[in-house]
Amino acid sequence: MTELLGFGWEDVERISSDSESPDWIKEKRNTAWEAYENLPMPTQRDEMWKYTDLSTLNIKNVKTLEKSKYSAVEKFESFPDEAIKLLSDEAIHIEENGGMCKPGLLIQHDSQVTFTDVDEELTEKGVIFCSMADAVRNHPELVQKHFMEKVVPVGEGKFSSLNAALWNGGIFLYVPKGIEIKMPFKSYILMTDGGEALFHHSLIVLEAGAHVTYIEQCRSDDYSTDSLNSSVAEVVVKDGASLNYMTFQNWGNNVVDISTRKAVVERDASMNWMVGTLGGKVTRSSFETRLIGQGASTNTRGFFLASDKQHHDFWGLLSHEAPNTTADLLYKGVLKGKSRSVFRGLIKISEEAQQTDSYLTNNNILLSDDARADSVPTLEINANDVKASHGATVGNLDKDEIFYLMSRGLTKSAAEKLIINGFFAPVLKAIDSEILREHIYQFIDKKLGA
Amino acid sequence: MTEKNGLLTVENLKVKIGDKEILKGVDLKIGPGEVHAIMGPNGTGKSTLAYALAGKSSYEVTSGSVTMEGENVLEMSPDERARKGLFLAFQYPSEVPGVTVDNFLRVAYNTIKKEELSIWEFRNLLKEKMEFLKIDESFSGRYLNEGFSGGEKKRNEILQMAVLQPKLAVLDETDSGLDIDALQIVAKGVNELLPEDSSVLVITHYQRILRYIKPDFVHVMIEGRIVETGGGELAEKLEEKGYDWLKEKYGESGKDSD
Repeated sequence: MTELLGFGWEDVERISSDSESPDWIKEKRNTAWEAYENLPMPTQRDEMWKYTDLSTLNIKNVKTLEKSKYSAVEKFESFPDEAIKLLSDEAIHIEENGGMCKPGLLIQHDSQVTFTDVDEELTEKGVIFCSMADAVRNHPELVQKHFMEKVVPVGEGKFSSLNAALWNGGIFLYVPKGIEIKMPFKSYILMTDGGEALFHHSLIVLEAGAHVTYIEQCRSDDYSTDSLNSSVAEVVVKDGASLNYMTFQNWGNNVVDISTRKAVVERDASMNWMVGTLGGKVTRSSFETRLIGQGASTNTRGFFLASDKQHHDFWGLLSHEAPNTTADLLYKGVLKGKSRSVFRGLIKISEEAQQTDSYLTNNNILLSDDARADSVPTLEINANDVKASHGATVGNLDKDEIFYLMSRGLTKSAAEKLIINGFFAPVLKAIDSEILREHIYQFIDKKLGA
Repeated sequence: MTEKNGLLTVENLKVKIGDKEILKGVDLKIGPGEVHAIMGPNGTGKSTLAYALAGKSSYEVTSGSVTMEGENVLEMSPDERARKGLFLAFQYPSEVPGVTVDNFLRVAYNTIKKEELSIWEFRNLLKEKMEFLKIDESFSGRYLNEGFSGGEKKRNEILQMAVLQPKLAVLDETDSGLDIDALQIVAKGVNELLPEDSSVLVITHYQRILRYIKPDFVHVMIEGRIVETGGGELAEKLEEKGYDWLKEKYGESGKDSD
């Protein structure tokens, strides 16, 4: 059997020797590599990978790049046009704000962070927003205790272990106690060639009572050779803090994306995820939220639009591990062409998690006879005083709705688009930024075609 | 065949739903600015005529013709018919979750009028019509028909009619389920918010709405055919005598084709 991936120990050594990283992180890479080597590659015989066949992927020769063809710049406007052609919406936003990127913006081209701008006033207050590479060098006291420790421990998964061994990008966001920031921190991860391997690793730590929003966007053009993005995000939300974490994936059609995002939410804290998947060839995204403190809550909103032969595999875990915790997950998808999706969601309520409310909903619309959506929501409840429910639907567009809109002059395609936009609306209305929402609607419109 | 002065001409229209023939040869001529009413007992094909005019795909036209200003309506898709100036106020309009009334109507308005009104320009236009129809301001931001009461749905249909300014408005049982105040507002909308030369086809079971929207012609439909035509006085006669005398007179003849 041929190997899925062609990485070896020499890749770990090369990455370790190239960076000015401290010994503890080199250690971590070594341990993680060992774990990766010892774990079997998942197959469809594993329940968690039942719907995604990795053996058909052609990513054996993907390579980690040491740097990008684009070099780092001090000011956003110094980027050559070519470097930011996928960021036209952000460019408008920056221009409208007189060149300001407050509270923070970080851009990564391939494995190189090419732009970082953070509001200095926030830095003075102890807020940290920087690349993961800078974070392990400059803030080991904050990073070391969380990096692949409690949230996503080394050895938990094959791909997360590989990420810990070879990580070559990512951000660190740290918000001290009680700081509230309305505007979002943003990052863009751009791939500028085919055949790449990107291992993005992010860590977000919110101290008690901190409130922030973080928006992460992955974008690339289509290339002829397949690439791999395998991200890990670890999130710690401490007592009474709240994080909105939005992630929008719009990779080119050559990218295989296998990513894990996980949050640990403490007492009375809240964690809100927004996940949008529009691009990529095969996307496997995992969102896990552990509500470990009493009164913790989470709200997950997700959407995807798949076309051609795109494959989307979503896994969502709502884990209630303390009393009075609440969770609500709504995931909506539209499939065209020969695309395929699977939604697997689990509400898990432990014995001590009494008086918990938890909801899990997945709705899908099929636009073609060749598209297929599977939906597998499940409950695992070990407490007796809880409210939990799940629901899933897979259907077609309603003919009567289309006729109704057409009877008002809309063409069939305009009517269908309007209904689909309406279908996504309960999810997309959670996006505060009008520019971003508009950008997403435009992309959906383009992807739906004439 | 083509009526130069006519707005809508229906000749010998036969319509099937599945295997069942519902319309068995309908003839109807509507001139510009005229108000027509089609009355009849339930299940005689009145709503089928409305849907067939609007172009509902499950309604199969087996013979006959429908022309509007001389053009063959039957060859047009539902949206082409709307752009030609045909409007159907649905008896049971669909709920479209996530699509707001104002956004939907602006798209429809811009498509039909071939304009590009901005959100703000359109909002002013909409606001005026809403005030006339005594519709609360919050209405425009609600999702289309979702959670609307029966009366709100009907008023919403009339609001759409007022915005889109059709040449021919077909009102399919718009009166049913409305209390007297709502009925009066709806009728006032039909009377005052349409252009002078627009025509109206009121489809109803009851004579009640015709007290407020005065018809020039009243037609009675029994078992898929228009069997009587008269002026406003015919509606009053029906109010008084019911439909039984007409069913007796014409009912049997239509049953042979089932």
